[in-house]
Amino acid sequence: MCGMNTKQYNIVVDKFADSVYRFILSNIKDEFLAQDIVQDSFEKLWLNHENIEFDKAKSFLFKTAYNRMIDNLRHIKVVNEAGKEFLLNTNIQYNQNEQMELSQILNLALLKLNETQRAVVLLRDYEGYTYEEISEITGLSESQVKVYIFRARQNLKNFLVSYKEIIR
Amino acid sequence: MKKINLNNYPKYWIDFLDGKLSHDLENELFDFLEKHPGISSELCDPDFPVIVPNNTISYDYKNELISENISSHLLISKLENILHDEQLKLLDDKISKDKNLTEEFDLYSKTLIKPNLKIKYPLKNELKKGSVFVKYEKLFYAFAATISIIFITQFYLGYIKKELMDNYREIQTITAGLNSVESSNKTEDPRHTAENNNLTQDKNDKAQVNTNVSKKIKDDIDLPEYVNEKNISGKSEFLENLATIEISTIENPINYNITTNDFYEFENSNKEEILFTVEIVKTPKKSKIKNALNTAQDFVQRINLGEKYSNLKLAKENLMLAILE
Repeated sequence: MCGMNTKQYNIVVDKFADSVYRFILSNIKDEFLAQDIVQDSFEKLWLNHENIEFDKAKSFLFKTAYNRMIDNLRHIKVVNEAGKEFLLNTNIQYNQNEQMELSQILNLALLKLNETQRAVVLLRDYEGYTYEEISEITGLSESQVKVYIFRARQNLKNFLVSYKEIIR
Repeated sequence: MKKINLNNYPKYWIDFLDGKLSHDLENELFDFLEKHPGISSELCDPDFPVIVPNNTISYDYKNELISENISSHLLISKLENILHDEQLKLLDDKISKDKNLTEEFDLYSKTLIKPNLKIKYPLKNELKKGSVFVKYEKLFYAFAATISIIFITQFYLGYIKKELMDNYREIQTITAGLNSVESSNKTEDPRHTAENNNLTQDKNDKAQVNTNVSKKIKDDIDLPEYVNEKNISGKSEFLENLATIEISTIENPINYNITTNDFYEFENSNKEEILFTVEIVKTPKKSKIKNALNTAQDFVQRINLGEKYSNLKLAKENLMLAILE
């Protein structure tokens, strides 16, 4: 097995730090926590860089970041749920009389998904990962990934329909 | 060893009814029943309870449910790009014919989430390993690029300025050259010799001579203070004139904009009241400058400006010195 040298590691930082950060931030909506998770993930990558191939670095990073995120979410779940509901309701009420962009509505809809559905659909849409890759990152079976994505899409679609009805 | 006994025979009997019993166990079960006729008659009793499903009961919304699920599943599969060609073709056909399905697919299409690329990880440099240069490589490049741009800009501006100054100097050189030609001509031409004598003799002449040589180029050229710039802005209408020479009288400061052809009309003006201005509005062709300046100097000599002519020469020399410094 041929690991990465320092230069390759720095290339990985340049290439993937933003995308890992975006993925985590979209999941947890907490900039500082997202930054911590990204930093931890890269630290772990650096500690193991001699054993991780350059081509596998992205997958390793996302997997590490995903696991860190899940660990953190377990601790803050109660707060998160309350905040999520508050944020969701506030945004819907606030924007009832305004035309929101689709991306904004989808961001709200993401809050309605459970953490696994949200994570898999973001990995799929943000990074274009295959079901197999998502399965490797999340530790779910490929069939489970498919089911989660299927349900996430249904929920997102239903939210779009209900949002239209609310502002109508 | 026999597997079927008095304790477990019901299990094997049910498996037999379900068709799940192997051939060997089936033979063993029949052997067992033969040995125990009481059990056999009990199991074969027509009153033995058997639950028969009620096939008349059905779920009323089954069709709708199936249709909905299949549609959603297929629409999402199409969105996920995991359908086979034939499936995709059939579905596309169905979507094109069904307005509701089209709207449904349109809604699903909107569930694709695009990343916000404006979001950047702010501490990327701190993640990098290696020397300070490696960590802040991009900053170094940005700094180097900025310095380069500054140097290039300075150089380019300097070059432009030099070009402009060279142009300016060229005009003055022509002027100076003409002066020297004039001087040499004067020695040959008796008329000029006489005028030169007049110039040196008439030292108390009160008229003013003011020479302004301007060129409509960049404002940032350091023009000598005796170069009159105030008229430049008003000369845009003469941009197409190759050379414009202005002459005005002290009483009438409004300049007459004349061409070299009209020059001699001023010959009869009161010498002491003439304010002499040579102004080149635009960089003209060299031959035209020569013509203009020749005419101007010829005029100055013809009207016998005396010391004023010396002042004109002195002003030009000073101008040259100022430029060459």
